[in-house]
Amino acid sequence: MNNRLEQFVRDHREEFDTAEPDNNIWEKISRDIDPGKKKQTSVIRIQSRWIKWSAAAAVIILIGGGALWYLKTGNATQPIDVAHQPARPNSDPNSPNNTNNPNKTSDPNNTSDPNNPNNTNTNDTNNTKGTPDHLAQTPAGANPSPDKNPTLADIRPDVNKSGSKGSSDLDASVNEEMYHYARLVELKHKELKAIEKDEPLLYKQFAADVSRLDSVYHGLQDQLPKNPNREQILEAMLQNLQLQMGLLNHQLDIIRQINHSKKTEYEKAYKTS
Amino acid sequence: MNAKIAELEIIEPILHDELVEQCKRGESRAFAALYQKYARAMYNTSLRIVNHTGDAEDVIQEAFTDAFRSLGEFHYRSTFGAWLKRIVINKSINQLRRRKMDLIDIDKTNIGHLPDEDTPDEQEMGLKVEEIKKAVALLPNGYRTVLTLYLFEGYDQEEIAEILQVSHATVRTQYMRAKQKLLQFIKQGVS
Repeated sequence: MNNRLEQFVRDHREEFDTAEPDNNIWEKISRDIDPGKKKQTSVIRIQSRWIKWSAAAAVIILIGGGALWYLKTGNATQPIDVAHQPARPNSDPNSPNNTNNPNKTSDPNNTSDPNNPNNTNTNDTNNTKGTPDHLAQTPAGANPSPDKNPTLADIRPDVNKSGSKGSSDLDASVNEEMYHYARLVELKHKELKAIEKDEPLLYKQFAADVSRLDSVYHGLQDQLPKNPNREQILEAMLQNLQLQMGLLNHQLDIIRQINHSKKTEYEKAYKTS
Repeated sequence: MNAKIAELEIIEPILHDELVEQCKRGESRAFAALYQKYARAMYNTSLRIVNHTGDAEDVIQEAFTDAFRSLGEFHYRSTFGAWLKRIVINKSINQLRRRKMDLIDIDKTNIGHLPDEDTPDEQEMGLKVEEIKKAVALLPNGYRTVLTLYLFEGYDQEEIAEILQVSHATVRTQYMRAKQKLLQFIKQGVS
């Protein structure tokens, strides 16, 4: 086949592009990309794009809130525990700081207490750990190391204070787990922070979600010294950290997906002549 | 001619860069300039594929909006024009598909059974821009898409195969048949 047609089109290429697009098209485009509205529209776009994930995050937050509410109302419905504890004198030599802190003792009435929460506690953590995210993504740095970080500094002293005779086992295990999770949460935070430059809006949204959980955590931490129900608070704190962890994992997954789709889109787009 | 091409190759990307960079910085005048620069070419590209002015206008509106919003993902691996054109073409093809038109017409028209003597001889034909344009518009969607991408947009057959997600061989036969049909239309004096 000869190529006269191809040659002719090449020579007259410009003449083929004579149709004129309607003038109002630019107005529609500029309305869509108008800098004043740009922020709004891009937020909406992100939201609709990741609505599925936002929903997942919302569910996690709801569960967290629900658990907190349950624990709070649980406190109110257990007047016996509360009645027992404030009267206890502080008999713990290991914790000179917590003079205001009502402690569990080896009181026979209470010995069953540390055990039950202990059991449920380990069950809980086992369940949460059962989700592959928590274990599979545990980085090498997850072992406690003398890292100076605000979150750790926040947690450690508090947990150390909690060492009392009756509940020292529980506290020690909770302490270790809490430390472990706090460390993971921190690492994930750092990982998340890396996207701030590329996706500032998304990062803002994510950070807001996480900080909501985090503020609940700090609320719990504040309650810890005053509240007689140490185990429940500690457990709630632990659960909160686990939730933060899960949330961060989800967020990082989303980012990974975004990056992936960006990459494929880009590869598609630039492969032109 | 060669000198002109060489000049274009050197100068164009730099010019594009400046406008694109201004857009990236959010200068609204640069968006307008970039639109003015490419709108007509992109509109004609889309129009040749979707064969419908309203659809083509929708396509370029969407394509420019998408391109402007995702400028951050454009890193000069190609010229901005090539990047934008690819977006326009993908959207145009999707638009055709949305209308449930089959993009591959092999054996759906009787063109495959044309006797050889019916094939017009390009050499003897007087070709005119307007006639070619009208004949292109008469082609079935699949033929028109393949022919347009090759003849007007300068993609090679492998790239077209990738864009349309079909085999290289399919593109080759489609193009040959499309061209045959086009020349036939021109010879018959479609005008």
